[in-house]
This record gives sequence, C-alpha cells and structure tokens, in this order.
Amino acid sequence: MIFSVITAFIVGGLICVVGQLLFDVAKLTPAHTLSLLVVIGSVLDGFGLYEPFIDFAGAGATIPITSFGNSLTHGAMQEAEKHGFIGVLTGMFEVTSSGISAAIIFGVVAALIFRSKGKVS
Amino acid sequence: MKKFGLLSCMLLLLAGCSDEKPQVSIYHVDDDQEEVEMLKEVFHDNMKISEASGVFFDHQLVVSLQVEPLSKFSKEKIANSIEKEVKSLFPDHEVFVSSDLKITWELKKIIEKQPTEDALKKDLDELRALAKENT
Amino acid sequence: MDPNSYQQTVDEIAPKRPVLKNCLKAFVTGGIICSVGQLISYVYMYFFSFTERTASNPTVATMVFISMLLTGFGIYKKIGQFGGAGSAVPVTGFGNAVISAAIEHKSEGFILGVGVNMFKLAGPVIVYGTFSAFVVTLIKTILVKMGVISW
Repeated sequence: MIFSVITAFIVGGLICVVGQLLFDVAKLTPAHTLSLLVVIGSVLDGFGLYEPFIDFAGAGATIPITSFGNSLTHGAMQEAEKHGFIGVLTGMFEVTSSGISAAIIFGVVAALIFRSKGKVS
Repeated sequence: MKKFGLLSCMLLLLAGCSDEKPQVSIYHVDDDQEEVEMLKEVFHDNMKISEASGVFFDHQLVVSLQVEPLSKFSKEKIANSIEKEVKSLFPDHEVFVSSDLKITWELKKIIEKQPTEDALKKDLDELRALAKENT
Repeated sequence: MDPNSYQQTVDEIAPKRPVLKNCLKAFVTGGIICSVGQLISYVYMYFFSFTERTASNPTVATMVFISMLLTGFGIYKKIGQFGGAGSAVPVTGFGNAVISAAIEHKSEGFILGVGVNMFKLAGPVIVYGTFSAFVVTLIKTILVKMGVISW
C-alpha cells in the first residue's frame, strides 16, 4: 500500500514537471497548459492507455487535470460502444469525475463565505 | 545523503519486486477440496499476482486477485486471462473475477467470517453489485 | 523599433527562469498533492463502500473542498508561488482558479461578477476537454464501424 502512495507521488510529480516545462520552456500560459494537458489525457484514453495508467499510478493519474480529458473521453466511448454515433454526444458527462461540479459548487459557496482579499485604497 | 538516497531507492525497488509466490486463500461452502486445489493451481506459479482469494458457493465462483505493483499497468489483461482460465477449468460454475482492492478486502472478510449459505448468497450478490458500479 | 529587434531586446533583458529548480519544486508540490489524494482515496475505500474504480470521485471532490479552504484563507496563493505548475496542474489548482476568481469578483455581483469570471480558466479546460473527447471518440467510432479496430 505504501508503494501506491510513492507511485502516486512520483507519477503526479512527473505530470506536474511536464506542466512546468510547458510554462518555462514553451512559455505557455496556465490556461494553454491546462487545456493541452486535458487534450493529452483525452487522446491517451482514445488509445486505451489512460485506464491502465490509472491502475498503475492511482491518484497520481486521477488527481492531475489530465484525468478530466480521460473521464470525458471514457464516458463518450462507453456510450458509443453501446449506442453507436449518438453515444458520442450522450455519454460524455456520464462518468465524469466530480472535479468540475465540485469546483463550481465550492466556488459559489466560497464566494458566499469568504471575503475578497483585494485591497481597496 | 547520496548514499542514503541510493539505498532507499534500492529498498523501494526490492519492496516492489517481490519474489514470493502468490498467497491464496479459498473458502468452499461444501468443502470440495478437489475444486479448491484446482483453483490454487491457477495461481500457483503466477509471479505477477501477489495474492488471490476465492469463494465457492452453489455453482458460483467469486475470485479476486491483487497484482504485483510493477505489473499494475496490465492489471486488466491479467485479470481477463485469469478469468478465461478459471472459466475453462470450471465450465459449470458462474465465474466472477475482480482485480479491485476493495473487492479483495471484502472477499477476505467473507472468507474469515465463513458464513452459512443464505448469508453467503447475500454477501456475494452485494459484492458483485459493488464491483459493477461505475460511479 | 521593429517587432523582431524589440522581442530580442526583451528576451535578453528578461530574467532567466531557473527551469531545473522550478521543475524540482513542481515535482515535489505535485507529488505531495497526489500522495495526499492517494491517502484520501484509501480512507474512502476503507471506511466507505467505494471500490478502487469509484473512489476517485469522492477523492477529487474532497481535494477541491480542501483547495476551497486553502484558497479562501489565502494559503493556496503561497503554495502556488512555490510550486508553480505543481500547484496548477492537479485538480486542486483548477479548483483554486475557479474559487479565487469567484471570491475576487464577488463585489461585482453574483451573476456578472462571480458567474462570469469563474470560467476564465475553467472555460478553456472544459471547452477543449469536451471537444477533444468528441473528436477522439468520433474517430474511434468511425474506425470501429469500418472494422479497422475493435473496442
């Protein structure tokens, strides 16, 4: 079990290093970098590589933003397998991880609870 | 500092590549030792599996296995090949194989409890429903 | 001054980024966040009836909740300054971007302030994630229908 935590540390760290290289070397903005990583996650799942990657790395593969791309593609592919072309549209948000909903919900909650840190002169 | 780092890396690698044979624990409701031995043979020399458990009940067979950490990338493939092998060994049984950690924990609890037939049926049905969940 | 020589001057004068140091910091920060996620995953699997496959859902939700607390109290900003991509790439970074924008623009009202600005970073991620999933699945479905590959 400890091994899984270490693997998660290493794999998660490596994905973040890829992100950092996109920041520093390719000089991309955070929005560009995250969008690119999501697309990479999506393409990897198209090749059937992301699910085994999750089996291997656990949270190291589900916590980085790449897993969004994977969830969306995985849901779409599952539905397309069952229902053909229409499944491409209907399946997308079926298995999607709770990350997006959580971020939106907690965003509104935070706006209700916390005070803005901006200083007004 | 460097030596410590090198030593800990080696220890971690060794911890990952275990040379132990898989630990198998099987529970048979009717105590059919022949079937138990047949199932044990499947896992006998498979170095990629770290542990396996099985429960025989009324022509149903629920198996769960845990794969060695470094082979986890092909966990699904290993589970599918084990499923094929077990299904060909026990063609008249309803076979269910899972490689999920939670399923392994639950199955081991069932094996320890050694429940009677009715409770066992309920437990196994719940287990299979749990394994089929997608979200 | 023409654009090329201006860009050249900017590149010469701009401070060089310590790429290796940044990568190390990103590695450690990202690694810690993912390890925490793995532990939370195990907690959900042990104490509740989540399987390995389904445990990622509550785990991600919990991580975003934690990032809400860290963002609200101004701690995530400091983690971000240290970790760079290590704090932006995990889902906590996504949560932080959405939540900090929501908090900052509260003064402009909930509809036009919070509602509009929350999606400054989240927007491209969701748009291109969805679109990429669509394209990938479409291509795969077409290839399967043509019989080139199987599911």
